[in-house]
Formats: sequence, structure tokens, C-alpha cells
Amino acid sequence: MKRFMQLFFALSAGVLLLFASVTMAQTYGEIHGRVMDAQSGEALPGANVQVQSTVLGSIADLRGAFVIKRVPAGTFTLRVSFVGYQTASATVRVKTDSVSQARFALRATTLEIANVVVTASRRPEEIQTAVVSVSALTATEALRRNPLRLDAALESIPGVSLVGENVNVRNSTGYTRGLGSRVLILLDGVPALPSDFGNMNWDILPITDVERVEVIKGPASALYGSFALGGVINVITRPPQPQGRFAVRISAGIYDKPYERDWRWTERTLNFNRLDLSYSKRVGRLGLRFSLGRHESTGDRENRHFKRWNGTGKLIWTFDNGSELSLFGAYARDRRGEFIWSENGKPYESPLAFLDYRLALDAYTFYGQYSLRANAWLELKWRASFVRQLTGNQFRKEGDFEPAQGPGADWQVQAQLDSSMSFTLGVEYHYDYAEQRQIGRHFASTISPYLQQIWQPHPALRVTAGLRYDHYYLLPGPTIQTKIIDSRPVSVVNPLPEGNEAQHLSPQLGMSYRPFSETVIHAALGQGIRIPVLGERFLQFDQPIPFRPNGRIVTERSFSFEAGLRQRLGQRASLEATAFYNLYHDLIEPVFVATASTFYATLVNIPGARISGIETSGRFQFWRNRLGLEATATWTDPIITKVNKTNEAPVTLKKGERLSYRPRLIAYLSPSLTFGPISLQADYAFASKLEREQVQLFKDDQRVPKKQLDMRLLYQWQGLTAQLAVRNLLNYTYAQVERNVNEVRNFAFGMMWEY
Amino acid sequence: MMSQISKRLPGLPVLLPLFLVWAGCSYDHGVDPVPTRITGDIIFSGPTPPDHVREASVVVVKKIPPDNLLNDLIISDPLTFDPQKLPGVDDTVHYELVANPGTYAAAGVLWRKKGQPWDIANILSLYIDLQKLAFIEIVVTAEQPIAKVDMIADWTLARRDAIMSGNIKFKNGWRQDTDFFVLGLYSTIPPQEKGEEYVIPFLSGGAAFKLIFQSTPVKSIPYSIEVNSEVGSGIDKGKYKFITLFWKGKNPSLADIRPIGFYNCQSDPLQPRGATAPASSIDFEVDFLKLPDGVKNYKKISKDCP
Repeated sequence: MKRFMQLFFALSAGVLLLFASVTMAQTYGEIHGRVMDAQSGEALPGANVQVQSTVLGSIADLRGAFVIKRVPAGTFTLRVSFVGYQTASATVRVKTDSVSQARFALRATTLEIANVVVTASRRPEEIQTAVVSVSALTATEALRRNPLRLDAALESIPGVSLVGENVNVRNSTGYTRGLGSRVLILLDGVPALPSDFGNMNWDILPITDVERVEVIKGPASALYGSFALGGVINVITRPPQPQGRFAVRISAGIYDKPYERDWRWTERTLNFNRLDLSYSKRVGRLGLRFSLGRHESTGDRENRHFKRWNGTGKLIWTFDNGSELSLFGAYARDRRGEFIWSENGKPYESPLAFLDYRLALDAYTFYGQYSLRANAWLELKWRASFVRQLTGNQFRKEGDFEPAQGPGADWQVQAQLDSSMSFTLGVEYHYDYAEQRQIGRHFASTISPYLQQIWQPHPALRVTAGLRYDHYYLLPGPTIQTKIIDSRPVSVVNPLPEGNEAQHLSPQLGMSYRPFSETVIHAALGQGIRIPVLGERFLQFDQPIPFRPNGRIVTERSFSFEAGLRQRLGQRASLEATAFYNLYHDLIEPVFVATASTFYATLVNIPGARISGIETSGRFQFWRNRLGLEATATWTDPIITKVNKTNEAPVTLKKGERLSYRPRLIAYLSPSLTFGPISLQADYAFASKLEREQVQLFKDDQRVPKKQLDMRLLYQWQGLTAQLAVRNLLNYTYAQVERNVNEVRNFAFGMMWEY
Repeated sequence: MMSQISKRLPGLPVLLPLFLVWAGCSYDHGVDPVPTRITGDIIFSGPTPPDHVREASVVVVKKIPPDNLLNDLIISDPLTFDPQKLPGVDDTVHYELVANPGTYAAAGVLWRKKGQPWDIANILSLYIDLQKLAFIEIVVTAEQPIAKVDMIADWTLARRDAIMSGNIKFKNGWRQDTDFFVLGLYSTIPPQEKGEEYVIPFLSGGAAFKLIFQSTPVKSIPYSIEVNSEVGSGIDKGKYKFITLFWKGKNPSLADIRPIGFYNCQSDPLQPRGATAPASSIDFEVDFLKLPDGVKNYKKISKDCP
């Protein structure tokens, strides 16, 4: 390991020296320009301008103007992109010590698609030619559904589904009951999962702060490491707006009564409301963005009430030399009742034993990032981050808050060697610390150098190769720890007192080929890993169901392959289809163990599992863009291929059985009808019924497929959007997690005003 | 194409959502209510409920023993018994349990001690056929959605005012297929003619039992069990005349439970030795070689040790 690190740093220093020497020999000019709407002539502030084959770029300001400095003399292609507009390119010749001009008039596109993504290869690239499956959800698409929280908006993304609070990409995660995730969640590229349980706190992000959400589906561990086994979701926050922007978003609604009269548990009117305020402004070199939010609900059932607050702040300072410093902070506070599961036959009532369960969470996320463009072909980034979550009052115990925190750092070099080859080189470090009543006190660290190369030997062909090395070290801990449970000191055995050390390599290879301008074929394969989080290794508790740690739990590994086709049909339609095949080794899944003496839950490694399938999606615009349709369908076959016959726990898993909590078919249909400022929209979400073997508790309960229809009516006038929405219009009741039915039909009024 | 469709069906884009709303009127609403119930009356008899009782509930199991406590076990909400019930005056409480259609192997009433978790040994009543001494199956179906199950629960069985303790030594190695043990204390010596004779005294308050979970080999285990010091009468009040340990293997059948040793007189190993509650150092030895038949031919008359 030591020799490897020495070699790595020597290589990095060599790269820097090489580019520094090249830099000294360069002469420079500047590119100035404007970006406008082709039809109206109005400026497009926020448009993204990139100089192809370099790391240079800029953002259009309030007047649509942009400036790119320190451009080496030569001929370059500028590419301009903006959501809702066709990407445009132009050739610019730059001379030494002179200013070259470029003007762009962008045509609106009927398909609102984010054209440029950054997550697939850690650098901006066209979504159409990404080598892995990637989808992007724009802020407009997210907000029009008026979700009360960001994760609810993700289900419209092809291949993405929610089971309980777990986000799944192609059924990779299933339902982990709050422990761990196979989808890495990033906030502006910074890991945002807490160190204890590895489950995302979505309340930390008000939706008004989001510019877009990028989802990578498939092998991503080569760039992002652990958790990215199933995919990556990168939530990209809005940069400060050049023109200044103040936004208010209000939403309020009521829950309807359950369809069945016997299920009605209260005569109160159950309701919810949400308020978000945000402000952003760019003044000279300084950009600011702040937001505050409050969200409150009585819940639609017993003990599901909550009160949540959140706040975010972002500062961006641009230096004379073009480098940029970003500082971001977010805070979320959650006080809620915890609905565990319902009584049989009374889906909205909690058993008496669970009625006083409460949960309190305080979560913080900070990051600072400095990016320096050393020259036209070299960019360096340094990032430091800190995620902290405090959990208290869990399961009716009053008391102190218990922290889990994870500082991290990332150092990255992005270099454009020539017009056809670029690479990204970096080292990431992450430290995990958790001190929880149910976990104990543990420390772990991971250091991960990574490298990705992109080669474009032909304008129509892109090839990427990536490799990441993860070195994980779990510090040894005491053999016995004393914890306070039910106000009594209890000695708890540490199942892993000697610590744990592991090394993993994750390679990846991908390609995309564009035989025609609107057709792209892509394929990728790679290996991935997921290191168990501290909660998965050490969690122990006695209620509501006893949970025992498995000290022998090991890292998950995967091999993934996918191949797909992207086809645009002019400006009115786009189609995608991808076939994927994922093999898992030592998949960590919760199981329930019943013996004569006890009944408890624990985690086991399933030696072999496979999730293969097909994902399809399409977007269409008809009737002079008045009628729109989005449709996605993902079919998967999640199978256990190998079990451990010598497992001490009674075998509850069988070869050939389907993996838990993974519906085989997930579909989403979203038509919309627009007449001027008025729009009528619907979302229909479907998930096939789980088989008996796929649920772990209450197996004899009735199971039905998920069918949920939401509808909304929107009115837009200048900066104001008003909305009337009905969720679960048909008052259909289903449960993807046992005895946790979906929300009853509810009606909401929402308004968003931007100035 | 869409413009052609809209010309032929100009109202289609508007009618479609209206159609969906209309379809909702006769739309499948998903999960159905559970129509089947187990219901009945629990008659609490005997003395006033002891102060240490926190709650009592009806418990129904799908199979014996249950594989999965969440799948195979239903517990009612706490029964609203009268904590101040007068001795000799019955207190009747109605209950209703939602139970998925199917067959349930057993039902009973358990009580729970304050500050303690549920304990299978804290039985107030069992739904059994006293003639056959077997659990009565309960069946609920769509055609017969209601099953009426009434039980009498005697608070005498909840009396726990003394502790018996000691040490049990294991002789002749260990059985690898050991699942658990049952410690049984009887106020009269079971006649040993039928297996059910070991069970009946639990239902009348004449015995106490405790499950001891020890599946890994040990040479001895300590025990402590709460018992009723008012059992029996006269000079034998509070006396437990037969203290034994039953063995249960990993075979799921409960018929395999066998006594493998008992508290006896050192000078006469076949003579069960009694002890009056409270008592400690009630030590005895058990022998795995007594399996598969269990201990036999012990003396049926209780006597003091010579």
C-alpha cells in the first residue's frame, strides 16, 4: 500500500510539472460573447459555455454575456447548452492578447432535457454520448409534481423506484429498513450519506435549491467507490443567479378519509403544509444563495406526525485567475412520530406498544471546494466536507443526541491531453465516526485513489476506462462496551473487537458510438463494491424487533454489464432502451431468525445473487407541443443464485428465490396537456405485486400491485405558478413494506412565486 | 398524426382524464379489509389479580411451535380486566382479534409481569379439549369469518410470591440436538402414565414451569424460578414435591419432550424430594442417557428423605 501511494503521488507531481512547463510556453487571448433566445432575442442568463477539448468554460450573466479568459491562441469549438434549448456550437479563432467574439441564439426545444451532465465521468459531457446509463431530472420537472420532499420526485426517473424510504436504481437496494444503501447520494458531487446507518436524510435539501438531479444507473464504483454499487444520485444545487432571484413556495393540503369505513381512525381533519423561501444573487465576484424551509404534517395515520425545518447557504467566490471557491452548508431538523407498522386489518392505526415511539434527528452537511484552472487543459480541485447526524429520542427514550459524523476530502486533477483524450485523477479520503446507543463507539477510514481516462479516437466513438482502489480500515474497539438501555447499563459484546482491514479494486470499461446524429449505442462493464457501514456491523437493539449484529459480515462485490440505445426522433421524441446484468457476491440482506428461544433480525451475506433486466423510456410531444407523454418501464429478475449452507442462522433463504422487496415490473406514465398558461398533468406509477417469498414479515397478509394515479392542474403567469393537486386520486391502497400502506388520497394547493 | 387524431376526436385530450376519474368509481381499491375474526369472552376468575401483573392478552398461534413470531403469532390488545376484582366474583372481558383466513393451532391467555417481557410460562388459560387434553384448532374462512373462542382465566395461576433456586448438573456428556429445557415444579407427583399428566397441573395452578434455553454444552446451569407459595394445603402448603427438568430436542414435535432428571433423595435415587417455597440450593443432576424414554419408575408417593 505504501509503495502504491508513493508511486501515485510521484505520478501526480510529474503530471503537474509537465503541464506547468506547457503553461509557461503558452500565449493567451479571451473570448467574449452573448447567449440569447433565438425567437425573443432575450438574454439567457445561466447558460453554460464550454470550450471543447479544454477545461475552460463560463456561465452567462444577467445580460447573457460571458467571458472566458486565458484561452490559448488557436482554433476552438464553443458549445453552449441551456435546459429547454437545443445545444449550439460555433468555431472561434483566438489570437494572442486579443478578444474574440461569439454570439449564440439558442432555439427552444420541445423536450425539456438536461443536455449536459457531470456525474457520469466527473466532468461535463453531453448526456446523449455518456457511456453509462444516465438520466437527469430538471428542477422544473421536479417542482411541477409539487413533491413535499425530493425523493418523492425521483420516481419519475427511468429505473428509479422507492421502497419505503429506500431509493432503488434498477432494484439494487430493495428495502434495508434504514440500514445502508446501494445507491450513493451526492450533493454537488460530495458524498452526503451519514456514517452510522448510511441512509439519506432527504429533508436536508429543500427542493427549490435543486437545479437538477443526475442519476447514474449501473457500475459506478470505479469513480465513486462504495455505495455506488447500484448507482449514483447526484443532487446539484442551483448556483447563485446572476440576475438575483427570490422565490417563495407554499403548499398546503388535507388528507381524505380511507376508502374503507372500518379503517377510519379519527374524525380530525388531517393536514400538511410546507413553506420554502430562497434568495440568490451574484454581485461581482461573490455569489450567494440562502434558503429556509418548514414542513409540518399531522400524518395520515397514527403516530406519523412530524415537524421539519431546514436551511441551506451557498457562497461562491471567483478569483481573478478564474479559480473558484465554493462553500456550502445545510441543516435539517426533524421531530416526528415513528410509525413502525400497523395492526392487522387497521392499516392506519399503530399497535399500542408502538404508539409512543418518537424520533429526533439533527443533520448537518458542510463542504468547501476550491477549483483552479491552471491552464486551458488542466484543472485542479480540492474538496473538504463534513456530514454529521445526531439521532435522539429513538424508540420512546428521552435523552441525549448521539452523533455520527464523517469528514471527507477529495483532491482531483482533470486534464485534457489533446482533443481526443482526457483523464481524471484523484484521491478521496473519508472518515467515519459513530457513537450511538445501538451501535457503540467506532471509527473507520477509507482512502481511495482513482483514475478515469476518456478517449475519443473518432468523433462518433468514445471509450472510457477507469480504476479505483479503496483501502478500508476499521479501528479496533473494546471487546465489551457498556451501553445504557432502558435506563440500565448493559454490557454489549463487540462482534469485531480486532478491527478490520480490506482492499478493493474496481475497474470499469465503457464505450458509446454515434453512428447517426440522433442515435447512440452505449455499453459498459465494471466491478463494484460496497463496504458495510458502521450500523450494519454493530447495530444491536431490542425493540421493536430484536436486532443482533453479524460480526462476520463482509464487503459486497458486483460485476455489472449493460448495453443500450438512445434514439432522438427530431425535437419531438426520444427513446431509450437498456439491457443490464448485475451479478452480486456477498450481498448484504436483512433476515429474520426464529428459534425456540428467540426471534431476531440480523444481516447476512448472500453468497450469490443476480439482477438482470431491461429498462425502457420514451418522451414525446404532440399536437404542437400541447400534449406531452413520458413513459418508463423497467423489468427485472432479482434472483438468489447461491446460498450459504453452513450459515449458523436457520436458513431462511433458498437458491432460486427472488430477492426481497424488489417488484419485477416498475412502470411510470406521465401525460400532460397544456393550453397557454394552463396545464393538466397526471402521473401513474405501477409496481408489480411482491411474491410471498419476497416479504419477510406478515407473509399471509394480502399483497397487491402498486397503482397510484396523481393529477394536478397548473396555472403559470409570469413568475407565479399555482397548482391544485390530488395524490392517489383513486384512493388505492397498497403496501410495498409490510403493514405500511401508501398515503391515503390527499388534496393540495401549491404556489410558487419567483422574482 | 396527433393533429389528425385530434381532428377526428377533438375532445380526446380533455375526455381522457375525465374518463379516468369516472373509472375510479368502479376501480379496484387495492388491499381489502380483513373480514375474518377470532372473538369471544375471557372470564377472569379466582382471586384479585396480583399487583405485579401489568397486562393480560389473548394469544393465538398458527403452528406449534411458531416458526416466526411475527408471522405465526397474534396478540390482542391488553384485556381490560378489573384489577380490583373481588375473589370469587367473575370478571368478563370481550375481545376481538383480526386474523387472516386460515387455521390456527392454539390459543390461550398470557399475563405479563411489570418490568418484564412476555413469558410463555405465564399462562392464565389455554383453549384446550380437557377430555383429549389437546389444543382445539381454530378455523376462519371467507365462508365462516367469525370464530368464537371463550376461555376461563384463573388469576391463581398468576400468583408469584416466592423463589426457588439451585443448580442443575449435566451427566454423561451433552446431546448435540438439544434445543431447550423446561424446568417443572409440581405440588403433586405426576403419575407418569400419560404425557398429558405433566401438563394438567400447570392449568390448575398446581405447578410452575420455566423455559431454559441452553443449546451449547455446559456442565451445569443455575436456575431461579418464581412460584406460588400458596400451592397445596395443610402441612404441604407451598411444597413442591416433584422438581424435574425436561429435555426438548430440535425435532419440532412437542411429543419428544422428556424428563431427564429430578430432585431426589441421595439415599434413594428413585424417591422424589420435595422443597417448600421459598427455597434455595435445590441442586440436582440430570442424565442424557435417560433419553429417549426419559426418567421412569420414580416413586409416586412423596416422602421425606431417609
